Amino acid sequence: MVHLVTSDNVEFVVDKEVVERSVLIKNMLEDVGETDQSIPLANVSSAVLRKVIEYCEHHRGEPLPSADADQNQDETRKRTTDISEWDQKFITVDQEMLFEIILAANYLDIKSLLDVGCKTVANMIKGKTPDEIRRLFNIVNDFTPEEEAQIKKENEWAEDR
Amino acid sequence: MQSNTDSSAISGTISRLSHVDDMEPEEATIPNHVNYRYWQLVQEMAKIVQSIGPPRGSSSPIGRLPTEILAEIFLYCIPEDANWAPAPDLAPMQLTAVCRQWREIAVNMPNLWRRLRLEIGHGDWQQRAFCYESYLKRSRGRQLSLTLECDNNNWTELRSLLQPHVNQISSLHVGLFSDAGSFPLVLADFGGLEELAIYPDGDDPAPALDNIEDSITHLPPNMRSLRLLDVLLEFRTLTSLNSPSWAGLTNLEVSVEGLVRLPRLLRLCPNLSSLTMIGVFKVANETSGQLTHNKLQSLRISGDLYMRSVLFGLLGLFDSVTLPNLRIVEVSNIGGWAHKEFKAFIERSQCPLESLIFGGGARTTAQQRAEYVTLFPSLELVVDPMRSEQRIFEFTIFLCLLKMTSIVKLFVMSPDTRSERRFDLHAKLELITGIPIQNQKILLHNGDDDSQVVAQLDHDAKPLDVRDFQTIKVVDANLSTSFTTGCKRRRRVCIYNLTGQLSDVSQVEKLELSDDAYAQRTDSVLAYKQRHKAESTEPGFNKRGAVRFFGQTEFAAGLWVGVEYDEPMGKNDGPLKGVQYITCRPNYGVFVRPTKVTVGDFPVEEIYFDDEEI
Repeated sequence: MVHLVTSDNVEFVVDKEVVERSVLIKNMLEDVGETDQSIPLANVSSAVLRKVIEYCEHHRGEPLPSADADQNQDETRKRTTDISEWDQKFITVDQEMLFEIILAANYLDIKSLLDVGCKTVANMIKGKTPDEIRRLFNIVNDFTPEEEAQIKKENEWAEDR
Repeated sequence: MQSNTDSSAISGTISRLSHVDDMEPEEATIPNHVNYRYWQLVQEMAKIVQSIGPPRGSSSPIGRLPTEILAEIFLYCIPEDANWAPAPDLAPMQLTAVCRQWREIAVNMPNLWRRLRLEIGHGDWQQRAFCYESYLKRSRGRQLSLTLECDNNNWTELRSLLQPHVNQISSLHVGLFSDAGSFPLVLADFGGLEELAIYPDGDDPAPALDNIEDSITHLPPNMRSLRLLDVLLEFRTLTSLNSPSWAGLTNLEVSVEGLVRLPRLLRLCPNLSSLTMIGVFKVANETSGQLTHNKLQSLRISGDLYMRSVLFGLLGLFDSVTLPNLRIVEVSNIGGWAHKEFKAFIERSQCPLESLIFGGGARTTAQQRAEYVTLFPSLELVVDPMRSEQRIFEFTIFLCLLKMTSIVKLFVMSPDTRSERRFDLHAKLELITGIPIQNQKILLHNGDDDSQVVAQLDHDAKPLDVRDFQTIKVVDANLSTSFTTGCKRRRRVCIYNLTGQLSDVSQVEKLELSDDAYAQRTDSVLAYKQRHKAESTEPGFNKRGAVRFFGQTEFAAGLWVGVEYDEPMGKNDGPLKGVQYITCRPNYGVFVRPTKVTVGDFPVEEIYFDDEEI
């Protein structure tokens, strides 16, 4: 069992097999060896870690993607945004939580969870106009009118048929 | 003096605070007034920060994501469909228009800009070329996957646009109309090409290329995959292909005359690991010696619908080949399965067969299948009558239409859909000629001008054997119920209708009305226009707009009125022969003589687009 302590000082006790889906923790445990000391996760809150552990529990035992295979794929792989049914239900959370999960997955180095998060955000972006995207994510349009004109000129082609 | 110690104490406190987030200043070591001053400063800073407003992006949760994660998300935003056309609401273009941060990330990610579908033939080419060029530049030399479609068969512009990137292109999908003539690109120029697919553009299947053999004889050195499923590789072409450049291919999809060309294809491509082959028409066996091919792992073959219904165990396909590494075999549309022949083949090949798939139109018995499972205990054996590549169907259907006239019922299936389709020569001809099915009299001629009827299709069970450049003439047996216009030509087969009643107006009884009589009516359009004093720039057709210029011009004598239309129905965007008279959007401007213009208060008309015109 591994002890984890979140940024808000909540302790979690998790199966080693489950928690080792995080490459960060896996490497840490390899370096430190078996220990009863708890691992502090200063960047992850208890609410987020609870979700992350839920994910790791569900996917326990699945093979971890090897780092090189992924590197090779990156250039050529066809990127699909399909998400399995369970993952989809799992990631149906509010935006705040979604981005927290992504940040946590990035920090803890859980590639498959990071992918699920990124795909989910990508699916939110797909097919929306820039304006809709700004409204969805509360992004400020900081282009000058000149820049806007240039972008419009660049992106006009699809409208002239 | 005191301020000096103050400031050093403050900076000490701040530096300690920045190391330990939640630590309270230690009161014992820091004088009270310093502590107080520190909190004052902290509060002032908070006020200043508030007045500046939130740092860019932090107002939105997504702004907290680091650049590398945003970049990862952006890559997932690229449409999956290989055939997408760029649009302002699709990645990557969409991503450049959201905010500065996103734009900077997106523009500097060459991997976002590696796929593009270029469409030529509609719209303003200059503008398109500008957009395509800036798109392609962002790929910064990375490998490109391009889809090319050319509506006007004018490839010159496209070729010059692609010139600077020619060695970057690793994958090309080329859509061709059936009247494309010859293949429009010189493949040898594309030094980096690895993958080429040629497919029919629009509804017309099977582009017949005049000199396809010229184009595909010399493949670029890195070519690995060649997909020509919808282009029939004629035997003549196949025999003239004797090119070492085919030796590099690992994936080949072709349609050939006769499945018996298998040994020939394998000999041509010694490194092939995957072959998909549609053999159309039955051709007599080729006599060729035994061939062993060590690389082939996957073989997918399909006959046409004719073979599907007629053939029985006559494949003759596996007799002369030995494939020791074959793992996957998928067959469809080949009629009764040639069990003995195939069994002898796998025993001879000693191949590690993993999967054997009998698709639609491949008939096997339970006993035959049991024998395969005995031979390969871990064999994945699939019998799925619905399974067949849709494109294989579409292609064979086209050929089938030319061969038989009865209705062909098919199931077309993909993972998400299943639908029944009926392909019917009569229905197809009705769409093309406009002559109702019951009125169709179908005649076959040897050419457009040849008046001699080669065959008449009066019996639906009888196959219609059509050859290149023959003409199918569809005669309307009952003129009164048809409404037809013109005719549609195909390159290979011309389809005419001989209705002709619309071109001969003298046969039609008409209501005649003299101009005088028309002028006197009160319910006419003319009367309406006179009542409402409608403006008119051309008789009978109203266009509204704003007058932007009036006076003498350099392009022609006399007075001219420069008008900006409300809709793009004009001829220019302002300048005429180098002089800028008016400024307006492209095609909104026009110059007319003053007599053609009526000036008044005419508000902009609402336009309702017809759905079909969009």
